[in-house]
Amino acid sequence: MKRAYGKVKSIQKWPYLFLLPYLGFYFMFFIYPTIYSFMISLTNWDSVAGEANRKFVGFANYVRLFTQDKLFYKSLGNTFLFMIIYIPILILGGLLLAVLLYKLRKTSRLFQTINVLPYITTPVAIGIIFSFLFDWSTGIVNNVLIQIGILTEGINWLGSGTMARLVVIILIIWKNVGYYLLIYLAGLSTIPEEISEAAKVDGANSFQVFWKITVPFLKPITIFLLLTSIISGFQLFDEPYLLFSNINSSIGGPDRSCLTLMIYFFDQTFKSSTRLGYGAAVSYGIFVIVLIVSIIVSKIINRKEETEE
Amino acid sequence: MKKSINKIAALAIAMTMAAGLIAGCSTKNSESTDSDKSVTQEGSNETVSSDDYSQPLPEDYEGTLTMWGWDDPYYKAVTDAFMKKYPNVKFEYTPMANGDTLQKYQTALATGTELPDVAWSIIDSRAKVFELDMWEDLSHAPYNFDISEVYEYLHPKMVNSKGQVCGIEQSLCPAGIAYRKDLAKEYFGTDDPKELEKMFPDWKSFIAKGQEVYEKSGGTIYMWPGLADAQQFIREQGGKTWIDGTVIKVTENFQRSLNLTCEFRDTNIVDKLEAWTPAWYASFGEGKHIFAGCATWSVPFTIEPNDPEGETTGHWGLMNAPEGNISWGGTTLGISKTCKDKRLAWEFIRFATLSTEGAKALNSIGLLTSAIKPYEEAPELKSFKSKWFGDQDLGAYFLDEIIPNIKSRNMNLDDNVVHETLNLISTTLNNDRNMTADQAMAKLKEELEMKLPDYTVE
Repeated sequence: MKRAYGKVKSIQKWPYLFLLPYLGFYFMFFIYPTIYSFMISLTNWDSVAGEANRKFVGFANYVRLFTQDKLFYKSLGNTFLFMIIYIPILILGGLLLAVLLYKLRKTSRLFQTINVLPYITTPVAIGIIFSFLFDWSTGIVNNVLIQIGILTEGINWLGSGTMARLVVIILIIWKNVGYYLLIYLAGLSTIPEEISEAAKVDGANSFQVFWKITVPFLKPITIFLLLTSIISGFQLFDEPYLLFSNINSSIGGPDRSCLTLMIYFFDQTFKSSTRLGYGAAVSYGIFVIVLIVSIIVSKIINRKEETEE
Repeated sequence: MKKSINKIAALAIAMTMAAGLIAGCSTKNSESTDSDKSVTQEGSNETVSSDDYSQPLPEDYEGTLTMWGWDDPYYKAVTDAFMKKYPNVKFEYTPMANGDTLQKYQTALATGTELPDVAWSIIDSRAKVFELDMWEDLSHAPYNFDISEVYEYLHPKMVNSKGQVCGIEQSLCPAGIAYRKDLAKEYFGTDDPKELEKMFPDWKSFIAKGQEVYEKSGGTIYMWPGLADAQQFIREQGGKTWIDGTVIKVTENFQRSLNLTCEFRDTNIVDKLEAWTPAWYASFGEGKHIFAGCATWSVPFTIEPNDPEGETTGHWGLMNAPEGNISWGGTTLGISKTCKDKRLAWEFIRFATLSTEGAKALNSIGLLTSAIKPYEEAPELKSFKSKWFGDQDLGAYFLDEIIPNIKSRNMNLDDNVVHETLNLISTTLNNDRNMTADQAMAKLKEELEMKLPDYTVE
């Protein structure tokens, strides 16, 4: 009995041993940086002053961030504004496009490819293309609008705060709608055809089939897309940053209207300032906000599911 | 037996993966120590002492230098010339966007990874970059560089707040203004730079003439392509430091430039182009703008590539700007503290920035060396011409006419933030045609208070 127990014990160490490389990577590239970033956020570490002058300052960085930093709140407001506008459009647009393309038999593949192309294009190229398209004097968009008589004078798309936000939203939708389309197409293929056919036999029209069968069946996918959109929304960086990346542009574009949380973090840590300690506090501030929003959204979704049950 | 072989194999794989993980994260400290030793070993001539930095290295010296940079034509010109003299020296060049300099250097410092042996620093972020604990002080032993060897107006741009010389300017970057000779002849009756300088002693006369051009051309010809670059030129003419201790002297330094910018805008003498956008670049070939700021590098980088017609017509001219010229741009070469062969790095920097041979390499790409002596040794280096500027000797004009009228200002740690915020204000002024200079000033102060809360904004 004793021998058998000893054998079991010796066998149990192997799973841990096999997991060691993965756990090693996980610890080194996730756990350790996460803890270390938090430790940095409690210091006044500034690259210019040097690591030797790094001092523990407790929660001073957090107090400043949440009570005095107006730009942090401005970037937070901008990020929310972008998300509130583009997430519903992306989800609804992706769903409608998927439903339309699903019914197409012959040209479905062609349209899928066309819609997905922007998603696989590098953000740098997209940033440059859009800055060309929406240039005040030479941009194609202004020229087309003037040619067809909608405008008499070009709009300063990238020079006005409101218009700059609009361009960023258009860019995000154009780039990402293909991804939403693909996910919804995958979801549509899992809905049994006989349910829709039975509903049609019972007299349901196309809208009713869409609303009462397609949408409920796709609900798990919609929840997945919503949650991932919110999380990626807080990480919004590439599009607004690249659009205003020429030498004379200011951080976050005109009036800092496109200053998102991640751009602000980057600017505070590596661009305008070299305060690594404060930058780490900004990143943890973002983490706390993402956590709160995620909890609120999942609570709302769970409550809805409970009431439906 | 089979089981135990499996166990051994699995253990070996797990250990290999773990070892790879650890090895991948190790630093190269041991390697750099060995390399430090090799500085003296690598020199093939044993009589050369590593302490004597004033003497040139033997021409068969072997070594490798790493550099991160953004100006490929410059890099190619100087390293090719250096390798002709030292054929056994190799360079490892990593392209880097100049806007990323601060981020790359501070990340390397924070993580303990390797810095380049010869480190570049662009003027935009230089005040901060020079404060990083990564530079050899070139004014001290063993380098003993005498700063008076380079043009005086560059001195404040080569030192940090402690007075240490952290780098030497690659080339001179004085800026006057370029003008379209055809348009100047048509609207001002002359294309001679001296007569034009007399016509435009100050910005008020520039505005008055600009209004005449606007009326005469029916609003199709402008004095300057955009507000931002005009505003930048004017504010740099001040020559006074922007930040004094913990006080940002906004009103003193920027009120006049904002007043003039608004006047430029309201009198319609300036076009609406945002600087450095595709439309702004294209404007150099359109013949709609008479003047533009022009540094030495503007000729090969902005005028020549964007105005193909100018090569045959030579319709550009260079003149002193109203109320003085500015120092515009520039990149320094310095030695990082982690450099593995400081002796060779110094030899290269001395060659590229101070020697007559280096000056000749620069001259071949239309740039002027920042050192004084090469012009004394080879006066022909003062001269360079561009087909776009006809017969005008640009080199001589920059050296003899533009540079003496430059007021250089001391750098401050947060100049880059002030500069970036001023860009924000220029964009707003360009878009909101009703914004007054006072409103622009109030917005500038508000923005600076948000971005730099530890300073007093006056």
